[in-house]
Amino acid sequence: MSLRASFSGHAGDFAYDVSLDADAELLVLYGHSGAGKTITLRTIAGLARPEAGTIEIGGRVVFDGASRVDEPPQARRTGYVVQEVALFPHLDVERNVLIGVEGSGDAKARWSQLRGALHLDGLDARRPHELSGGQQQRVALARALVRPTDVLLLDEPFSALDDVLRAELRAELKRLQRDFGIPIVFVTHDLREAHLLADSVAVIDAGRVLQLGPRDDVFTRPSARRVAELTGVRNLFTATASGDRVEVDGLELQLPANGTNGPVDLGIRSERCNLRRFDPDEPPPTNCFVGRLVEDLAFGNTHTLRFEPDGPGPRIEVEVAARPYEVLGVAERDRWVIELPAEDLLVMPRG
Amino acid sequence: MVAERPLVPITRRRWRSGAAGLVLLAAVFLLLGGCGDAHTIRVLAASSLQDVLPEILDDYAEAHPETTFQVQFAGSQSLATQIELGAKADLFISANAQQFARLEADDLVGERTVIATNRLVVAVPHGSAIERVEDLARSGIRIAITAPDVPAGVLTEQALALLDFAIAEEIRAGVVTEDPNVRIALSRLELGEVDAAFVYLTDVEATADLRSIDLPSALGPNSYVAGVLESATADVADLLEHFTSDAAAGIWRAAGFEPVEVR
Amino acid sequence: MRAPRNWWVALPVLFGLFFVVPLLGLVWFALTEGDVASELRSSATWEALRLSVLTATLTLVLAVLLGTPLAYLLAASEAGWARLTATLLDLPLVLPPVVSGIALLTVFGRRGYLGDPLSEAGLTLSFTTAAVVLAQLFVAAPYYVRAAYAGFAAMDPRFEGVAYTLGLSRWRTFRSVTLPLVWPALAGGAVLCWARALGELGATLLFAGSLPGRTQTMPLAILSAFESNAGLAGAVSIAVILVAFALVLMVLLHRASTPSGAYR
Repeated sequence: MSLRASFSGHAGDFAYDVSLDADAELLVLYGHSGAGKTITLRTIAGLARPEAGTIEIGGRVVFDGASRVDEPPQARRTGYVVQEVALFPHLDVERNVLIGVEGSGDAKARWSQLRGALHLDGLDARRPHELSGGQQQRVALARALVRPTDVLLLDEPFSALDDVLRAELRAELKRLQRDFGIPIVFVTHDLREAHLLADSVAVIDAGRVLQLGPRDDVFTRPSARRVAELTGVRNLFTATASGDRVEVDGLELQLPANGTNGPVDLGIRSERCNLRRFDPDEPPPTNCFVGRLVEDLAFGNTHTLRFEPDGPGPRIEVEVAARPYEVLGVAERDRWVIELPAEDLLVMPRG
Repeated sequence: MVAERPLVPITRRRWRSGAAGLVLLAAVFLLLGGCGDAHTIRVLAASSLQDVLPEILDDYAEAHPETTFQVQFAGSQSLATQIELGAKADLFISANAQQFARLEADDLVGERTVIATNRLVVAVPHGSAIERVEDLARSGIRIAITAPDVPAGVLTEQALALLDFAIAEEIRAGVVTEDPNVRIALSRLELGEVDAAFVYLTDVEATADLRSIDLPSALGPNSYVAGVLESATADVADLLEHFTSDAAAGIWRAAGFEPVEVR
Repeated sequence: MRAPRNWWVALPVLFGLFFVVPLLGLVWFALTEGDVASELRSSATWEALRLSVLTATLTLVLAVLLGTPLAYLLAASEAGWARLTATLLDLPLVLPPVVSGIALLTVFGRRGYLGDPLSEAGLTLSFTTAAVVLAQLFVAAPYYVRAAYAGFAAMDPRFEGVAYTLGLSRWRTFRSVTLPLVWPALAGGAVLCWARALGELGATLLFAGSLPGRTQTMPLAILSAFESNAGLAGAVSIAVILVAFALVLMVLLHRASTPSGAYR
């Protein structure tokens, strides 16, 4: 089973041009509010019509602007769980789940299985308003899954839930995905959730997919500054690269290999920077520079430290875990040596 | 040395003139409000007098310029009901004696004076194929009459009773509506929704493109009965006389009524 | 929501009484001055009542059958024509009923613009019971359509979208998802429509005429009684029968239209 979609259009003033590709995996569609995530899902589901493009689900073409193919949502076999859950308020849980497939023995069998897996036992006769938020989410999920679907579209299905529930449902989802073997497009604006769930990530911004690839690729090798920004890279600089070196704010850094020459965007994640004690007698080694601590934000189990360069180098943010923070004695010293390891440097072409 | 006049504060002076002004205004309003102003005559008249009565009243007003009129037209039965419920006026003119009698029974009205008569006819459009009353019995003819208690409706019943029974039944079968007053029946005829209407001769005279078909002569005219109401405040004796005067007779006739002359 | 209990509650209560007291006065007047008993025995009264109920109900059925799709389309469409139509549909609400009657005559009357084609098809509309229904439909249906339109417009469109993705056809979705959700609005509109049709006078009189047994509905019978020798007492006696009947039905319909269960 696969999903291949490439389409463009307008929703009012908002222009979008989206390409998605997913096999039997969990693709996280990640972006901020208003980036176009919901319109993308709605278009794939058949509830919104793009101006041009093609959408292929499970090998079947469900939309083709050129040859005027536009299958109605009823025929697309998508399981779509909207952000607002949208359980039918006048039906109880069982009727909600089985609506449209009341006669199907398969569906009823699936429901029996899912009931247990999603901890929904005993709730068949309850009405949506009698369920908790988490229960409603799970019923909506079951409702989408009891019927044959070729792709699952989940729009921020866990956004209103507490951490414990989320962790539980995430595990369920992974399990379901393995069992059913269909692509799941999971929309979220929570970076941590993206990390935890994704097999692949599609980063979307202002109606365009900026990067689509395996999770680790997207997070460790962002294709552009904006992708890095969106995926939590807080240290981003303009720099100039030549060969296997790159220069930023007067500081020359070693790259792991030869790359592009000329102006680049350079980035490094806060948690990938190393901190060393400053020794005035020793010059900073390769890929290191001296900085003065100007801000220390304690987040419980980590500290976010901000440094001003003392000499060549950029302003930088470094994230340090609690233990190293104590061992290094960060609170007692003013000057530090910050290391930007070559293999953690993100070099992106300047757009 | 000139004695100093005591200075009256401006505010006090203004207040006095203001108060005087208010009193004057109040007096004017009271006069205008005129409940029982002897120079205004309030008349409740049958709706079939709608066109002719204003002319007669204007004629009267020429000789009595200080008089003004407030006239209300409606079906006689409706007016009688309103008077029973407490409506106040000086003069009541009914289109038949029956409605007048209702008020006599409760002592709401004084002596009767018949001031004119009218005739019920069948009105048809000018170019209509209907020539005689019997033609109304043809199938497919749609007829408008007034409701049974309306004076015109009472006459209609009497007229039908004077006809051959079979013909009357056929005519009744062609009746499509029993309207609350003659005006509505007439407008249906004008709109072409019905082919004939049982209305007054005066209505036919007043409307363009209609002609009248006579009903059996045994059907008498209906008399317009006028009387002074118990709630009257104005003096209407002169007016009542005027209705039956020579001058008014001409106006009655021109409209199609038969005047009543008092010797 | 808990009702407040301050002094100013007296004002709304008085306003409520403003509606209740005259009705009670009417009933009292009828019982003391009128002759309700003889009216109850009169076949003319029952004839008028039967006609009123028949025509008003037919009007309601037509309004629902024809008005529901119209309201749904208006609510679903975002085009300018939809808003224009919705505004036009409100016109009969503002027009004096007599004017509505004249409007109907100019089109459907014997000499109306559609008069000739209609009579060639063998249909004469004016002065028939059908005309009564038509007149009532013209003035009362907009009440239903407005309520239905508001109901459809207020419904979250996501419900229908989700239903489609679950494989439910448009019709199945309408029946099983949309209708149950907007049912209270539709029922409320239906009650208003039926009540308005029942009380219609001016348009019916002008377009359909007033003939006992064929077109003389209860309001026209009451008018006729008022204009007759029986006068006010006669009119009130009939009126009270109508009020009693309407009251019973209103209560029943109201019960049916309040949402069951607490999915507010």
